Amino acid sequence: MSLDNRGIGRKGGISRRGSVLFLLILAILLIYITNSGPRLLTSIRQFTYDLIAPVTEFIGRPVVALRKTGNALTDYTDLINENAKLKAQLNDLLAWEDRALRLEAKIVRYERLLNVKIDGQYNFKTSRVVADLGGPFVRTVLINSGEDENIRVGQAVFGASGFIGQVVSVGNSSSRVLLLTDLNSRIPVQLEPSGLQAILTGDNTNEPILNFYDDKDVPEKGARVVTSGYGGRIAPGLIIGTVDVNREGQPRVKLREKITNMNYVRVLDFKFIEAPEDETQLPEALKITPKNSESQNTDNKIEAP
Amino acid sequence: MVDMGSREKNFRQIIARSSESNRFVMLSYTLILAVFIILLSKVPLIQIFNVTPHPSLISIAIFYWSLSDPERLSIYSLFFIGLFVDLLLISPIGIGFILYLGLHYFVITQRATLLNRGLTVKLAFFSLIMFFFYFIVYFLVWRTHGHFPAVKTIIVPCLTTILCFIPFYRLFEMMDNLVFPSDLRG
Repeated sequence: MSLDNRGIGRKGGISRRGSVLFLLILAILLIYITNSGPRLLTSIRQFTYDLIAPVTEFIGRPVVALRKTGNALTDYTDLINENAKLKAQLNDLLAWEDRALRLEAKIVRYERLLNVKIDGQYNFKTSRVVADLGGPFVRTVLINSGEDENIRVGQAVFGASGFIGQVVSVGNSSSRVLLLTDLNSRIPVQLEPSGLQAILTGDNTNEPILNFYDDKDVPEKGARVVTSGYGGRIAPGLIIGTVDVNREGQPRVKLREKITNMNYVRVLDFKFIEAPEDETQLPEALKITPKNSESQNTDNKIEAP
Repeated sequence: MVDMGSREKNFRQIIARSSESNRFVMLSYTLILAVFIILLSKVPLIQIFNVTPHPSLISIAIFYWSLSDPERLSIYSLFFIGLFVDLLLISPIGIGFILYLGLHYFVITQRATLLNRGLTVKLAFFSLIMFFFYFIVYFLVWRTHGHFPAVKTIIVPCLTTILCFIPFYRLFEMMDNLVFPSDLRG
């Protein structure tokens, strides 16, 4: 192997200077063009995901197996402690179950009395996470369901125990899910039991920030955070996590779902109530047509003395 | 005499053709390997400090390829690799190419020095480039998203990439020796 510096600018090296310059200019142009996020680029990206999804799924199998083995080993070594903890939790939960059943019966009675129209049930589709497309720019995962399985953009995605994000692009056999932790993620949420409305903003860390809440109310540490359903995209009442206030006094949300070890996710299919048309069609009886409006106007005119 | 001359010409043509086909095989192998490395770094991994590390294994590969044989990576191969990474990372298209071209350029300028030094010096040089690149990425995120990301989301992948350098550098070396023994590399 020769030690001379063959490469940029040398004949037969990486390229001729003209090509380097041309591609550099092209790259800079592409940065500016793609910054606006044209639809064509989204389609190209989704096409690439469709292509790579089976490959990453195949490559990821040993990693998934390794992770499962690791988890199993950890569980096995901590079996006695875990058992004691579970027994204590079971005792607590039995009391909660009793309370929940009584409350459920009460709610059903009230709903019947008030004739309340309640939200419909969710249907869901379980999908496998095949690639973690996270980087400094985005926090997204790729799942192996797409248009073929009736997945649509905007559908909420649930992990084993909590809401994790929403579908942002759909291909034939794969979809990209924007996680709650992403810099671009903005989810309207509600705090329980206070009912405080806020926006959950991602910052690429695992604890997104609570923003745009009423200044008079402060999010309480430990309050449950659920989706509010405002905006008409994500179903209301999906559990996200609990409020945690950091050292700087900034309210953040501890996610219920561990975004680290997601193997499978559920894509929720929830139908929102359609909003009425823009121009409300009033029934004929309610329409008031001003009769002799012109004459009325002239009647109302005050003549100058 | 004429006969000897034409024979020599034919012989040279055969050598040139075989060298060209070797180059083509090497380029195809490099590109396939590059795609595989990029996909490998996208497989869901564990998290460190609540951040998925995503080491930039392709940077290590480009560093190794640029050092061992700069002719192996054509500018168009780098453009393709950069484009593919940008498509997967959802970063503005073109950034990957500029960064990898920079990495390739830095390595080539210091090639003579680096080849005579041990792996520790190479690691130190690589680390400096990575710190510089991730610093640029930090500002690019701010430029494209309007606000800075959490610092640890930049530091963790950067450190993971540096930690992966020695094992992966050795791995690429071993793979090259297996697939292309030194006498075939030209």
